[in-house]
Amino acid sequence: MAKITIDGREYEVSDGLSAVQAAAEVGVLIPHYCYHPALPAPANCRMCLIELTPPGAPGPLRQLATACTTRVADGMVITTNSPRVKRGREMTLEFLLIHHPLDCPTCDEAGECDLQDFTFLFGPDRSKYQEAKRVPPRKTLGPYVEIFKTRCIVCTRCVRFTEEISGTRELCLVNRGVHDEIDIYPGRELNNKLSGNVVDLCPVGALLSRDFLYRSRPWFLQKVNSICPRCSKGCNITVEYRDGEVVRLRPRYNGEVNDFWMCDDGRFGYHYLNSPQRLRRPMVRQEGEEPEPTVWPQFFDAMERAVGELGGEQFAVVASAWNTNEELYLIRRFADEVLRTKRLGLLAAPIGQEERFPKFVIEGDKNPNRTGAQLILGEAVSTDDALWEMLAEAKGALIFGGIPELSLPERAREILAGLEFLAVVDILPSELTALAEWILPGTGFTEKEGCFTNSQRRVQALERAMEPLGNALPEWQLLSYLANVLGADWSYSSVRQITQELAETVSAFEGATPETIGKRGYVLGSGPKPPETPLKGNDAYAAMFWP
Amino acid sequence: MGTPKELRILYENIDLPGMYTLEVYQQHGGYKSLEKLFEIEPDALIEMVKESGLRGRGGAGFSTGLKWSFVPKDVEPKYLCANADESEPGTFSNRYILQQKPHMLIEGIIIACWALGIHTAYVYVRGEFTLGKKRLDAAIAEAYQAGLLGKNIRGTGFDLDVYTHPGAGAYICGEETGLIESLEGKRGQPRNKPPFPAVQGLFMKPTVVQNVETLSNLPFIVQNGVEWYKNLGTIYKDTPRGVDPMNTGTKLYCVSGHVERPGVYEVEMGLTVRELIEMAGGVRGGRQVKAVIPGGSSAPVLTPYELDVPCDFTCLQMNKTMLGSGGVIVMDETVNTVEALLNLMEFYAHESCGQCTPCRNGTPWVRDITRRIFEGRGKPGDVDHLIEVANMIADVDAFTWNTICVFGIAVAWPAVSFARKFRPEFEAHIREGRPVVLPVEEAVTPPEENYAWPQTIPEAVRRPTWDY
Repeated sequence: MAKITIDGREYEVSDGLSAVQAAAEVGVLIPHYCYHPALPAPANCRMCLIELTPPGAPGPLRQLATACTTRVADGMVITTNSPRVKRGREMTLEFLLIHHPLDCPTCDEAGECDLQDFTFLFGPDRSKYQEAKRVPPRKTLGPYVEIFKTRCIVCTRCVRFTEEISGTRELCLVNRGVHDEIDIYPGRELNNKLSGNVVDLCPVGALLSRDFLYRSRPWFLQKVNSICPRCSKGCNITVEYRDGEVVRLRPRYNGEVNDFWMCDDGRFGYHYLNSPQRLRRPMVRQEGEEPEPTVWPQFFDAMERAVGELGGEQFAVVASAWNTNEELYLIRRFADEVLRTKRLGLLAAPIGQEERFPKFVIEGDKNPNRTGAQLILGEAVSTDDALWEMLAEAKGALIFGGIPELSLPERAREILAGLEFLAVVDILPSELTALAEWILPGTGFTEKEGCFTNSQRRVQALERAMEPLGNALPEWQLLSYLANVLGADWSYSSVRQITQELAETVSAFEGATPETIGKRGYVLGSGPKPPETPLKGNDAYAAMFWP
Repeated sequence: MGTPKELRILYENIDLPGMYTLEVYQQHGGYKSLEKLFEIEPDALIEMVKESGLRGRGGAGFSTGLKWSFVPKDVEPKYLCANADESEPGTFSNRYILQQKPHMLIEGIIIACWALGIHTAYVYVRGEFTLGKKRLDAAIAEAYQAGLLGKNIRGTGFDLDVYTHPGAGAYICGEETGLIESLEGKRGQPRNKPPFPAVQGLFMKPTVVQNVETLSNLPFIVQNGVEWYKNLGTIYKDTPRGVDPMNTGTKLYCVSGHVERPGVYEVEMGLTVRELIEMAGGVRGGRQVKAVIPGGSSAPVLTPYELDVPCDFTCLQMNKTMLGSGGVIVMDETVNTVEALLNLMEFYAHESCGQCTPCRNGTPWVRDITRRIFEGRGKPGDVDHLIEVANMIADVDAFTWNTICVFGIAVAWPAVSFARKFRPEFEAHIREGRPVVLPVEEAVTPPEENYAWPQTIPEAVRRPTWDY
């Protein structure tokens, strides 16, 4: 820890921090644009000016220092509120705004724009500028990113991201001086799998997401913390939604999982949730006909009859690697205790390609919770080819899908078609629902609570953004009703209760209680969690400056 | 005192046919210093250079020996960069050295590298200097052949490789860290300091960046000794804190503009601006001087009231301008000072690297205001507006700036000094809405207002005698 003085008050801050981070740790905001703790600091925006007295110096330096390039050290004195600093910030903001179009009313960034916010907090209330403004053109940089060059302040965060984090180097500065523009190298396109991050990094409205463009003012968005389901990495994200639609996913900082980033597969891979094709009510298919809408009791009756006729042990229960820990736990109990069947399977999206970048890895396992499934259902659970062989021996099956864009092998389709009874819980029409007698609407990851266990065995919580669609039932409720119809006596009243029970009854999940999981997750087997401390380092920075 | 005369040391025999070849250079005493050099311990050589008072000729006038003493001894490799990116408007002395006496530069490089234990040197040559680079490349090849460069130089076991690297004509690549970035193959954008290049420079290794003229002084210091060198130029006593009193040696003054005989004049430091103009044959056609820029276009302009300031580092600094690169630009009574400033501001707006906010957006802003005034669209209050905006890039009175490099002050200095010192002409221009050339007495702000008056000239321990 380093003892430093900020604005006349003494603090202890973590070692090795920039003055921007250190100030954030103690709740002092130092405005900045070009600096980002995950990138090298070029100190080009000149916004984070501070009055600096190095340790042992008799007084402040003659020139203002940049907080971003100042490493805190014992005895350092920092002033962020002196007239000189205020004047320095005012001058920088006045310069930054002379060519800015001030088109906040039509800019997506308005409301979450650092230029807007810092101008409001620290800027001059008028401009002396009387000359012509530059109006460079707008341009599409890649499939997901558009640049509005008039708004760009040339902080080069985006360029440095493509150099340091993605290593793909599509972006560069072209021209010189006031003609500086961010652009792509000739013949290139900003199309790496991490490209969406430059939109988050852009402190102004220059780099915007083409996916989100003009869809909503940010202040109309509701937000919950969640976990990206597109691979086993478990990137911490914020789900932003409005009027029952997901409109944007953005990464949340977690230094042990995804840092400040997420990949484009995850970021833009939410559209299936908003699909008009989403399943909204239970459907039943008479032999050879199109499915007809029905109501839940009809299904419960049909299931009760089928179990009675075929015998519970002839039933297979297939979970999905997209189910939460809590759902998996109930599926396990349902198979073991209610149906008393050994036929337990796991459906998973096929393993894809792991993609490595200099400072980010996209996992090859395209399921969010295979780890959880294996821990809860047991290593011996039938999956992939073994799953279909197991189903070939069964007479009836209850299958949980929920995996977008899932494709089944030909053999699987034959086996499923041969079952006497097939109920499928899914969120969209799929190859599974095409073969099912009972098509049951489930919930997408933004419509449910629960936890995923990522490939590092970190249990992380999803918060529910929206109600299940139409007559859809959350899977834990569906399983509870079904269990009770089939003679069990389950009385779960919340997902939290299931999380707690899982931690108490499954040894691998010992300690993973709702309290220890919290916002940052709990690594299985890591013992008691240390008590919460005030946020440090990048966590403190992210809390102050990152969405 | 006598009348100031030229004293050619660096420029001695510079116009001799074939002086750029090893043969002719050696016939006239070239590489003589190497006979003594390898007898001198490197640390002693650094002390010698420090003692000699040699100051960097590139612009800042920092003590060369002091800069060398900051270089860590235990880090390898270290690099020397010879800065031949001479691009300050009004400066043209290095170019001529490259073209006519490239071996003198090589000799200086060998000396600096011996002192600092450097085995790799780069010469960063301005892109436009095609002839200079051709001659320098040829000279380096000759030096390798003669065993003056390469492995085991003259049997001393000392190795040194020298490479040339052409710039692409960007002004900012003359700034030492901009030069380093460019040499590394990146955009020429200056770095934040600290760390200074002496600690982390080229390829993040200790690096000394030295101007061509500075390096060219070294052979003479080694050959003739410190005492001989200190007996040239002016040394002051009792200078204020932060003002180096040493102005030893000769200086290559590049006199251009409205003089009868423009050119490079090598003189002991200590003559006044007025004497320098006389040396160049006086103002053309016997006209009156209106303005003089003493040290390259970045230096604050001088009025006819300020011509008796000695043209050296110390005095010009104490009188709120600078010797800079020694580019003396003389303007006579026919000049419209608004147009002169516009010319400079066009240059700076074009050359700002665009990296940091105040310079990127401020420099074209000042240019636009100046252009508006020049084109007759000026408004009352525009002179103060111009001064205010220029002072936002760098505060010339407080001598502080929020920019990464000193380009900011290099813009603000001419802008503020022109606007303040020629305010009557600027105001007349705005009033009339067209270029106005006022008579000199009317064009200049009265000396009591706004600038250093009377001039501060400290007492000297040594001045040139000019009796040779």
